[in-house]
Amino acid sequence: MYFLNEQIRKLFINYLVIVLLFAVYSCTEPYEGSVEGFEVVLVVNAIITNENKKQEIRLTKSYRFEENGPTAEENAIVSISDGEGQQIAFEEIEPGKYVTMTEFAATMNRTYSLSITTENGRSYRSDTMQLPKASTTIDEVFAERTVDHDGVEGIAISIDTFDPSRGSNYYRYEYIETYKIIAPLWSPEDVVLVIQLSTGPEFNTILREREEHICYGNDQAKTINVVNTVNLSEDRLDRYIVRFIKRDNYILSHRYSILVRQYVESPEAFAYYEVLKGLTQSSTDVFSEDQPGFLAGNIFSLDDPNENVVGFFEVAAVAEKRLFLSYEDFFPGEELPPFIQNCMLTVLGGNDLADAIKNGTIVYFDSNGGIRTTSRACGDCTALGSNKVPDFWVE
Amino acid sequence: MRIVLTIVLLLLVKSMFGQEKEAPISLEIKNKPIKDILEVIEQKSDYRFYYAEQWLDSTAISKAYKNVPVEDILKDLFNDTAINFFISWDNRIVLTQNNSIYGYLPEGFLEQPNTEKDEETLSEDIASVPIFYGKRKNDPNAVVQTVRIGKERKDRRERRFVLSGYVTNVRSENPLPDVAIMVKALNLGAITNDKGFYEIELPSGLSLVEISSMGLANSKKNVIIYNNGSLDFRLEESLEQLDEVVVQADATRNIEDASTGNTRIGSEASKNIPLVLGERDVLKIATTLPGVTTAGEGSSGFNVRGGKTDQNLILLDNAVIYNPSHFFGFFQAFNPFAVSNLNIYKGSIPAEFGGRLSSVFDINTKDASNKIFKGEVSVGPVTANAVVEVPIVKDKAGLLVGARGAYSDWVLKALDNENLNDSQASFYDLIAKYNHKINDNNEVRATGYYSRDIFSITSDSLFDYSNRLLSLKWNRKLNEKNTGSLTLNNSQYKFNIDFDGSLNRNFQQSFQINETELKAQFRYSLNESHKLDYGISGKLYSVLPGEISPKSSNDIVIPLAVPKERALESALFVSDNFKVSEKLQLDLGLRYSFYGAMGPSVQREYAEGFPKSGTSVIDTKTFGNNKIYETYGGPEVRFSGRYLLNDSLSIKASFNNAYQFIHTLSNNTTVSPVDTWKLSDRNIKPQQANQFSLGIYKNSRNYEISLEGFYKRQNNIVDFKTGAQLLLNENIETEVLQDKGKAYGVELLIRKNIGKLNGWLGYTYSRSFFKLDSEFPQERVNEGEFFPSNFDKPHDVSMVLNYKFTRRFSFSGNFVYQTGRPVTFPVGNYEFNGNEFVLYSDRNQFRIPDYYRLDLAFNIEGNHKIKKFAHSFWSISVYNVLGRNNPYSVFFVSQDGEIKALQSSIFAIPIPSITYNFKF
Repeated sequence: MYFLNEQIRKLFINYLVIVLLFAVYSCTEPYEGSVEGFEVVLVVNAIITNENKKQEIRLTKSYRFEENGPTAEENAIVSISDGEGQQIAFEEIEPGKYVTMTEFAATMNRTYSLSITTENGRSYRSDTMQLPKASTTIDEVFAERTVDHDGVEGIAISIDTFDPSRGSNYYRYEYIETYKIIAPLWSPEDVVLVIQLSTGPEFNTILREREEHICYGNDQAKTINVVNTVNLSEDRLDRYIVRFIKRDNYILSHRYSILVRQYVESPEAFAYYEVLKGLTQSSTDVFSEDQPGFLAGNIFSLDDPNENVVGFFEVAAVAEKRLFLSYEDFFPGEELPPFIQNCMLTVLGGNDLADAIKNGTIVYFDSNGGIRTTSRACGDCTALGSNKVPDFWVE
Repeated sequence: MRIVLTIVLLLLVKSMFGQEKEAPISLEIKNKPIKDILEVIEQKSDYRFYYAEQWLDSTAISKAYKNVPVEDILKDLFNDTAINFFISWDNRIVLTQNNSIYGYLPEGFLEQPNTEKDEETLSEDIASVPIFYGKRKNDPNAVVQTVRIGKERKDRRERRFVLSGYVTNVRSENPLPDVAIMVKALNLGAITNDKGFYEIELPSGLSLVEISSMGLANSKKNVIIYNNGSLDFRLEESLEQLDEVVVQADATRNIEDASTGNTRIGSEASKNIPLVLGERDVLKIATTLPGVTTAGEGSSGFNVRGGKTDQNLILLDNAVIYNPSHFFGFFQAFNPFAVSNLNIYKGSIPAEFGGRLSSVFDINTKDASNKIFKGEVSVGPVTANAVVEVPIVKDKAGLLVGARGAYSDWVLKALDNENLNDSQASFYDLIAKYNHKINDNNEVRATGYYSRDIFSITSDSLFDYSNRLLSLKWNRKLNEKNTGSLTLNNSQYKFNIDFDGSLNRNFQQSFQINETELKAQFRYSLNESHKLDYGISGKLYSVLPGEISPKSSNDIVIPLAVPKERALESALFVSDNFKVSEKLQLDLGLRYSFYGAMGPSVQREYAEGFPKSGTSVIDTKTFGNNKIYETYGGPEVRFSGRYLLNDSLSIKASFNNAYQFIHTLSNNTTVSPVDTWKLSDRNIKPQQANQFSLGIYKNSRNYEISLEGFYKRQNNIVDFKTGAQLLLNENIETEVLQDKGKAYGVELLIRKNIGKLNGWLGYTYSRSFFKLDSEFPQERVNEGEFFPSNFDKPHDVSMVLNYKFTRRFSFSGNFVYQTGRPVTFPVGNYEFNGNEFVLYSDRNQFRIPDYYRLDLAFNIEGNHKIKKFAHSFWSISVYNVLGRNNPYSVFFVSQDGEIKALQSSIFAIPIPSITYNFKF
């Protein structure tokens, strides 16, 4: 057996050399083929809640990849029947945006269904839906400094909720965040083109007329966040994360506020969102892919059973809670996150400056060795947000 | 380590049937050695013995026989000795030591080894005519060297002369014992003794003398004998003898087998085919055959003739193997060295098999040698593999043990894919097989097998799946015409998901399926034209569809177990291989399948006229333990027939139907290791298929051509609503869509088995469609019309070629082209809830780009001079030589409100690998 062992030993040594020469490769990259076959379908955004307000429904159409956004479905007749013979009518207040004429709140034990007749005479009807829970509450919204799955440090916004009656079960979260923006290279003055002479343009500086130093930006959730407690021993979510902001995100820089909205949904609506989430979010497994396809909601065409309609008519209980936080509270004495873009000063003059002023791409900083300018977002916060202080804002 | 030889003599079938028993003789012997007894028999009968004296025991014995046939006397004399005997039809008795000479081939090995008619010129009574030889047309032996022995003398026309000589190894010059020297046409044979010496009596004139022995190259010489003389043979070693036998067996099967659409792949035959990651793989070879496809590289599961991946019955030594691959289909899950062959039935499926609609992959492991210790070892870039065969009881029992594993997960680490950076993967499999020949009439085989894969794709979850099976088989020869076998199998497949990435919602989730089958099968050779095969089988399934439990006491996940499912599947089957005439042969099979879903179970009843959902439940029924609460089943016809148009051309037709009671639940477009299996119940009906095939088969001297068409209809195929939740769902029926499938196609296969250049070319044109219709819009796909299935690839070409430069060096290439598979693409965007989403097209309205790939390999057989103990084999191969970036899937992601189309591919650049194998 000596020979055998000797042979095997040599073999492994050879083999190790070979292994090092060997490389395997797999990749994900942009698809270069073409995709054609556009289809126009009606898209219905309809959530009726237990909040007493003018309930809102949005009707749009699907659009091509190269188009920027949807076109509104205008002049439709929209109404909800409440199962007790009452029709709640909607009016169109801006293209595609329909609101109830009066304020109303969805209540328990009524069956609501949505009817739509579009401008071209096609009629649509939803399945009947019920409010799953009379009300819901968010017990607490937290912010804490932590790290995410990838080990990146940041602020996690999480909530606690508990339903002792065990009647909620299906939760969906949305948020609207608002953050203070301070333009880093702001100056009280701005540069204007006085006159275009044959020798060249003449400039002057004037005081800025509007607030361009401090603004308030806002944004909303970009992903679907659904969670259920069906398999948990209690109808409870502890420190459930609704938003994670990496610490290098500029929105954390000064003061930040988040309004978390918690929807308690019917199992059907929950399933719809869950599937929608699965269809659009990247699979982590390169070897298996979920079967994609058209996702039918609960709204159907009355004229053509094969017509696809996107959207879900949902009746949900809502609760919301707002939280404020400041960067220094979590990162005292630490460097601020970098601004959204790299802010530099450029000396400009002549026609270059005149063109830049016309196009609105730059703002004035100072005249230290020529007219120094910076890009708009660095010197004018309205490029990133609104200069109006929100009503709810608390410093 | 001496190689002991097993000799298979290819002799006339005639000798099997045409043998008349010689009149019994009487004799009485006192204190004489066996040799003398044999002489007495020669005197008293027409028999003549051929043997080497030293084989016989020289101790004197006493025997007395009265009116006993010679055969029985010999049986008695040689009982308890190493001597076997063979009585030829012309009254020659050849004694052999250790080896048996078989006058017939194992059943099904070679249906009709009729020698050509022109060899009748070599029959017994040529002595009185002048000896002549001439060129014979189309003689495959034309290139054989001719030697003349002795001098023809007109005055001496003896019938027979003795040819003798030595057989030696050309390299070592050592004499070779136990080598068979044969004249096939005349059923003559002799064996060399320890000194390599042989002696054979030949009729005067021309004989084709062949030397054959396992492990040695065949040698043939045309001997024209005029007088007693000598002829020495010097033989080369060869370890590829088995290949050639396998190929020959296939050659006649092609036209003469009555069944359509079946193929046999020898494991050994697959070794020259280019490999990815350096492993021999019979399942990969299977996918190069027409009608068998996979979704793409790195995808487990097969689509056979437009069938779904769960419709293949994959058997390893008779027991079902639920997941036949490791690591997403890159490797077969069983040891390539332990596999003897794979039989694929995709057309007419024998009546003994059932329970799956599309095909049977019948994988047989090797019998361990019961004579010498042998082994095979291979080392590839990812796996190492070893198999040893150990004789347990000399000449009776042997044990084969194999182990194989991926010794590092460096492959994944090297994958340049950010999704896989945190991944790990490893696998191993173990196999043991014991075969014991108890006596001439009884043998038992036992196989145990276990395979396990552990991998994680994301950092927070660990997947783990395993196959386990146990198979026991007892073969018994009941009498000359009846044989029976009893098999008991148990298979288990399970997987586990371990999630550990959350504060208090970590869990462990598992699935398990277990089946036990008992099958009794009998074969009855009624006469030459009827061979019956009948039996009964019963199978008990037990499925744990899903279980989840918290990982630690911190986790608030409630333990949940979807209740166990049980069912009984049994079948009665009978088939008759009916030779109507030389030209027409029929295989008439009938199988009756019975399925009973067994309690304990809770079954929902849904209101008619409403889609199945939680709100349309009208009743819930509870069934007690072992209560059969739903039955399905029915007759299955397995008919096929063959008509020989001439010696090398035949047509065949078949009709087949089948039931399938067990379904995979998979929401993926391709197979995933976490697919679960579901038993039919009140709300999920069994799948059913009918298939017609028609084919024409032609063998020419070097080529084997078949052209086969099929048409298949399926009912109750299982599909799912978009985005269905399948794991831990107690009411799967609310997500299931069951409707029709149809597939048709034409398959062309051209094989060349002989010569320096060999291989095959397969082309398939086939289509596969599904239809999911319902009165409810949410249960309808593509408006309820037929649409192409996920694996509808109309054009499929594969070419496998192997060129042997010399005995040591060979070059092989493998080319594949396939139409891209259908996919569902987004066709537009929509805004919902303030975010942008994609709108998908009808299902499978688009196709990914076509797939093609070229692989090349260079194989080097080891040099025998250096080390005699081991035979080595190197294979250097390059996978995807053209570096074609074949998209495996195209998918769309919504990132920060923007839609991106991405394609993923597995091996986008040429992948070299090198593998070293050796046998001893």
